[in-house]
Amino acid sequence: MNIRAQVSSVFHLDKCIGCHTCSIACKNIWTDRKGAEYMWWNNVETKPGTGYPTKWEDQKQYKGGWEKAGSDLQLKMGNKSALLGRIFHNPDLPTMDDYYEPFTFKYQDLTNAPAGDDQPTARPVSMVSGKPMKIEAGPNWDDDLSGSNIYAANDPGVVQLSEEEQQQMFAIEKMVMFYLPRICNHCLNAGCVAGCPSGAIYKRGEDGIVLISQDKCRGWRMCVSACPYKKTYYGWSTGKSEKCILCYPRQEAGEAPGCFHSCVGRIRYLGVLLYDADRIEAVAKLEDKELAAAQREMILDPFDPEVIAAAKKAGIATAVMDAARKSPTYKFVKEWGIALPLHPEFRTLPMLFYVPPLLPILSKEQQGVQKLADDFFTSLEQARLPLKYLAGLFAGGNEEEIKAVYRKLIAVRIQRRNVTVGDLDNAEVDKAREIAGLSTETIEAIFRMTSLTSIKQRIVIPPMLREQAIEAGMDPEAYKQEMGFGSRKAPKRRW
Amino acid sequence: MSVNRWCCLCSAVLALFLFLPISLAAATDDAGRGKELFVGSMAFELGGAPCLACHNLSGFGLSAGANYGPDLSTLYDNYGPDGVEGVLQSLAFPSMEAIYSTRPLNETERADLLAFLKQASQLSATPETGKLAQQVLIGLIVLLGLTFLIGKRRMRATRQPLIDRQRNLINKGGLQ
Repeated sequence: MNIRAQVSSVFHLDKCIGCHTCSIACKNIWTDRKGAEYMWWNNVETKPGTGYPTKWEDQKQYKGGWEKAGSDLQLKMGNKSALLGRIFHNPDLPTMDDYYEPFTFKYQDLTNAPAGDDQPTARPVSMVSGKPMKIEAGPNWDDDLSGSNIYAANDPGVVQLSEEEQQQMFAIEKMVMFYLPRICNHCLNAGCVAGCPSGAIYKRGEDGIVLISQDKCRGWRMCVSACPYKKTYYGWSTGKSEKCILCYPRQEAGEAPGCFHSCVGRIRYLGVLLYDADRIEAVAKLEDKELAAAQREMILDPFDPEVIAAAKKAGIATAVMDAARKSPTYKFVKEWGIALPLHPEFRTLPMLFYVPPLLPILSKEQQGVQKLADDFFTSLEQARLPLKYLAGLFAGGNEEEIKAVYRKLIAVRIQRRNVTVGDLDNAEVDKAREIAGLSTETIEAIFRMTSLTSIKQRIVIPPMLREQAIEAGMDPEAYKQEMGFGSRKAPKRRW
Repeated sequence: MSVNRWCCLCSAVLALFLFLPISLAAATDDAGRGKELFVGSMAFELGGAPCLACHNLSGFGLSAGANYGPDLSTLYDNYGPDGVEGVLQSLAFPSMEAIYSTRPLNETERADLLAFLKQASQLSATPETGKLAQQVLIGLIVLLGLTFLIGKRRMRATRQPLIDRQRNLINKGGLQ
């Protein structure tokens, strides 16, 4: 057993209101610079929709993530020699139009225009070329357009549904959508790390945050195509690639990452998960449908004495173990089992989990009595979204995983309705609980964690122990002067 | 990767077309030695430049032969044996004089060249423009093919085709 700690997150999609505050917080902190205007390390997509960049989920187009090649695992973009063959020209990248051309407006024209008969206007100009442009796309261009016949209809998850299911999804009276906030998943088997020809991308040993060394990066852009989530971005001004850093400088100071801190809906949970690194390869090679379950199987119980002993041997600090025991992500992912990874079939083992959206239920009234527990899973009509669609998103096509989560969520909802409204039969509440396999106390705990927690309970940042790491290498006083924001090092030339 | 393989194959074929017409058989008779002197595979005794460096002679393909001086395919027919012999002796043209006044051809070399030129005039009296055109055409097609194959590797847009498809449907009246 090779235990490692990973700072990982859970996003509760039923709580997301799609306000984009997280995206703006991230933009203001990290990507408000020349060459980074188009980057949204955090973005919020409407589902069904094509997302940002357009159709990022379609790996036939972008060739991101891993695939099985015989008994081996291989990047979908090809093996090392194929990578070398296209090192000067990689056609599997999103074009600028697939992200969007960043724009601003000539605001000074409003005040500087000479007096005339017409009202002065601020024309849109490109932030890349500075020339006037027609705005035709944006990072959330399809916001709320759940029925659009361009963006929603071309969602790679929708396209694989049957004609009948698609019609049902887009029927006007049952139109449905939800928001999918996305940041870097800080994967266990990251495609970007494997794809980088310069060896510039690494996963931090102590907390599993995946970072791109700006000193080593040479802008080959292989990480852009290797990442199936399209969460590394090429900065055209610096000539280096960049990505979400999970606000590690904030975390090292004990603060929540910007997007977590600013989340209005309080959908974001953060905490340490322990996993067995020896099992990564075996798990990544499993069948699509087994991946979601197997990945959660890898996560270890921080209360288990055996795990605690092994963690100690692996050098994980006791303070980190304490944080792991308080981790809300452990509860969501493992204890309650209601959070699932996004697209596990890309085989990167993403460590950002989502509680799938239950959405308001369409319940049928029969002779004045609503039957919830009995009817909910007997017919697909009751679920707002086709289970197949959600299974394609969160479980590698395994509908049983989605059903198991939905049973639990519906049990929580029915029990709470009984408490607050009190219009249901006790028998029905018990039945829902029985189907879900949860106790009254667990349901209460899920309810509390979902809706009544403070930020300290939702976001449990482990002590990063940077002092120790720094002291091992250099004098802390010298470090304070030399490192941090604004430090610049000339790249080491090897020729 | 298959595109790369195609590129390699095509350039190999192209090279084959260019160099195929040169025959490299060694010869022992007068005309054969003359040919070797003309082409430059055998050096002139005093080190004069081979004829093919500046002149063309039909039958040597595209890559061999030059057009700095006039085409010599019809030299023998136009001047006759005496005329050619005279020319080879003095080589008193302004651009040739600079080279050959200090490096004249000796008698056997002159005789060999004469024999070769005579033979060449008998074999094919006119330059083969048809064959040249054919080779140029094939070369052009191969080059265009390569350009097409390289063009196939360009990045493909994703978003714009979605919009275009929808616009086309609307224009055809398929959707409102």
